Amino acid sequence: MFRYFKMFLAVAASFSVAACSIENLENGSSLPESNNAMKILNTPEESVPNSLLLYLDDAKISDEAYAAELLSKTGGLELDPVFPGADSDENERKYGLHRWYELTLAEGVDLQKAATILADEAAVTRVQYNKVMEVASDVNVFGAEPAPQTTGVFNDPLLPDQWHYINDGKVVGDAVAGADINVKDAWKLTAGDSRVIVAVIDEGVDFEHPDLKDNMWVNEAEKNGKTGVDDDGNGYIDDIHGYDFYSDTVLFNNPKAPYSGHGTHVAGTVAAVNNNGIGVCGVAGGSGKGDGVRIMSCQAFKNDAGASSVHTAKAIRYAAKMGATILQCSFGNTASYDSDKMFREELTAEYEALRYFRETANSPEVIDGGVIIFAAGNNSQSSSSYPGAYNDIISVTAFGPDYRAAYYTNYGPGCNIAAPGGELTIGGSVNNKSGVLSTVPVNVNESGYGYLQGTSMACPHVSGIAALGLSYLYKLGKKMTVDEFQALMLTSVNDIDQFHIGQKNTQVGTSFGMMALEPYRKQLGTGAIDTWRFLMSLEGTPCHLVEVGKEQNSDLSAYLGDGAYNMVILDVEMSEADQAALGLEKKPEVRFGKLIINPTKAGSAKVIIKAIAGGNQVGGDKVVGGQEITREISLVARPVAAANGGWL
Amino acid sequence: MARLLYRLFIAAVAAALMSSCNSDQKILEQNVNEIAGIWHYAGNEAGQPVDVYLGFYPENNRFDLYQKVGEGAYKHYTGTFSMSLSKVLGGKYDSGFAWAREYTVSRSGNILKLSAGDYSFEYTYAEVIPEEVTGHSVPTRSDDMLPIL
Repeated sequence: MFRYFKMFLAVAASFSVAACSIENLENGSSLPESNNAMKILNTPEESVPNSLLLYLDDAKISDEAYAAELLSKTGGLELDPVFPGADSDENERKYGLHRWYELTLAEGVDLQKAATILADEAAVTRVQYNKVMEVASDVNVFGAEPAPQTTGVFNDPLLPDQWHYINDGKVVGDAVAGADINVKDAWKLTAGDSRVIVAVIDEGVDFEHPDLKDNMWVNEAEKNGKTGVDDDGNGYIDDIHGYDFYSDTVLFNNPKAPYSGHGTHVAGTVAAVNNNGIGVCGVAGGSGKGDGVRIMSCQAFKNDAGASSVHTAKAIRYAAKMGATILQCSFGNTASYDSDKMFREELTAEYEALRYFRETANSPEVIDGGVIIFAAGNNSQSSSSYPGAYNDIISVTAFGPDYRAAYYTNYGPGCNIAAPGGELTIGGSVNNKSGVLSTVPVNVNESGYGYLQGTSMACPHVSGIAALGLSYLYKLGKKMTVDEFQALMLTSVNDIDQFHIGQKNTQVGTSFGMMALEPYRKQLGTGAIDTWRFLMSLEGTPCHLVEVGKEQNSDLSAYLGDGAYNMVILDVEMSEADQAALGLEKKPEVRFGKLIINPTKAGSAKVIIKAIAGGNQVGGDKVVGGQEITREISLVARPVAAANGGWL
Repeated sequence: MARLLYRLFIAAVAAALMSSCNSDQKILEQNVNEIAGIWHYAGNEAGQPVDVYLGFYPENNRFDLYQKVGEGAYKHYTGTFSMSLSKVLGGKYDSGFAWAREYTVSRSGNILKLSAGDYSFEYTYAEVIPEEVTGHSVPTRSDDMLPIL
């Protein structure tokens, strides 16, 4: 239906453009007057030069005559639904996805004028420039040679070089043992679950890579269907492992294609196949028994070319519709936004697609929606890039094997948590091995493996850990809300601020130099993510012991993370009944990660702590900031309890 | 002569002291050995199930504490302990926090009783800390860092 519609419009447009006066749409001619400028959501800088997004009135959806009229008026060539098939999906209609169209303009047509003309249309509710995003890593791959096995876990020969999983402090001179994601013991509890699907919105993933192919998501209807046919009727032909939204074609695996390796590298960190005797490990790559989480490749980028709003929005919607629960996004907008409101209003199509993903429960047995994870960005700037900075999206900053901020990482408001992103220049010289080691296509490096650095590389560690978390929930038979899940993840951290004193020798600008570390303190999110602590927190929240008859400052780092002393507390709630149960004269407080309480009676009570995960203020419609999280802790007041909640 | 008597006196006092030291040392060792090993307590506290494993290691005066009150994983504490001649046991967590109390120790067979005033608990000797405990535990902070303002 839509493909026919597209062809019809293209033909109609060619007549219209020829027949109508389009000189005032060409570059350099005067702008037509518009009384509807407010409908234009954003500005044309860094956008696709011949593309606009429209939000049509419901009554005009699929109105071919009106579509032809729009093409005629603007010099458009094609008008395509951004989300094909959304019109017939009640859930997608709820998010207005069926109303978004992409208008492709003829060469030479002035984008701004076309936008203004469209804004004057009564049936066009919004017009959005098709912004371009960038990947968040330095794509500069260095090959890897297998090292002797010494880790004592999986048999993948390159695992000892993956310091970001198990850091023994020897990878470079400045390395710190334990500056990793603490996953080794976590793998004994779970290494993945094939029911968990992680959508990698990136460059295409090399789905035939020997260390990835067994963990690729498979669309059985397309795999078992006919080549060249949309067997499952989802609007995409032969989308067996995902789809190429950049080129609107089937994902292809051509080793000679000009891939940068970014998507394949990211996918390997999430779920390269573990314990298969080759290559590297992935965070949630399974135990070698087919139990790795599944990677869905949603290609929105192509080599160095940035993805547009349309590419990413389509990819995100596809991920939600086809069953993904985790959205792995190592990219961001180059433009800066002052608040969530500004982002939402300027990039509404992406926002709606993200909202649709977030609220779609594809793993309903364990979580009530989707988890979205973005890279914070590689511009060394003092705030996260969007969409990662958006309030309930997790934005990931990067540290090197020295447990210190990598020179490139964004930091500050909007950043939620830190993970290993690698840093090739620690100590003032280039050492490839201090990058993140993962899979790459063989055309990028003939070994099929390579080192990269970036918040792009930090981000999939968190996505992999989120995937492990969902896998563990399946094992435990537990279900959570997305908010609960994210709150536990963001408080399962090790303190990283203690390392941000003085300077470090690394890349500064374009040369080596000393980088001051103090600006990063309290700015990298809640701390460095810890897989083991996260899985343990999913098992449940143990009670905290406090002592009767004594005013005390009781340490809550076991619940709020090791960086709790730096966490901003918004509120501490305890019901009056619970206060009475402990004989409290006043409500407890939390300062510097310590619960200030003076129980006069033995008993139990619940305390609800609202805090900010990352930064000093909650992000939202006024400012860029951290996520508000809630932790509920059960207290047991007894005659004996140490100040750290210890039994003795 | 007086000098000789003085020297003999000093030697006798030293011998007595040494003997006393040796004897104190022996008592201390006995006291510490009394608590050496793994001890388990399971019970209930304010309506919440409690499961505690204590490990005392005399060779380096260190202890392990695994505790779970309510649901979830065990919290794992480590630190050092000391024992007095009068069987009073005290300790300090690696986080820098002192134990809430000092405890009077008494042992009867496989039962170890730790008492602090009116408050006492009986622990049963265990061979090892089970793997389902150690393998489902979260380490607590190993040092008490000061807030960086």
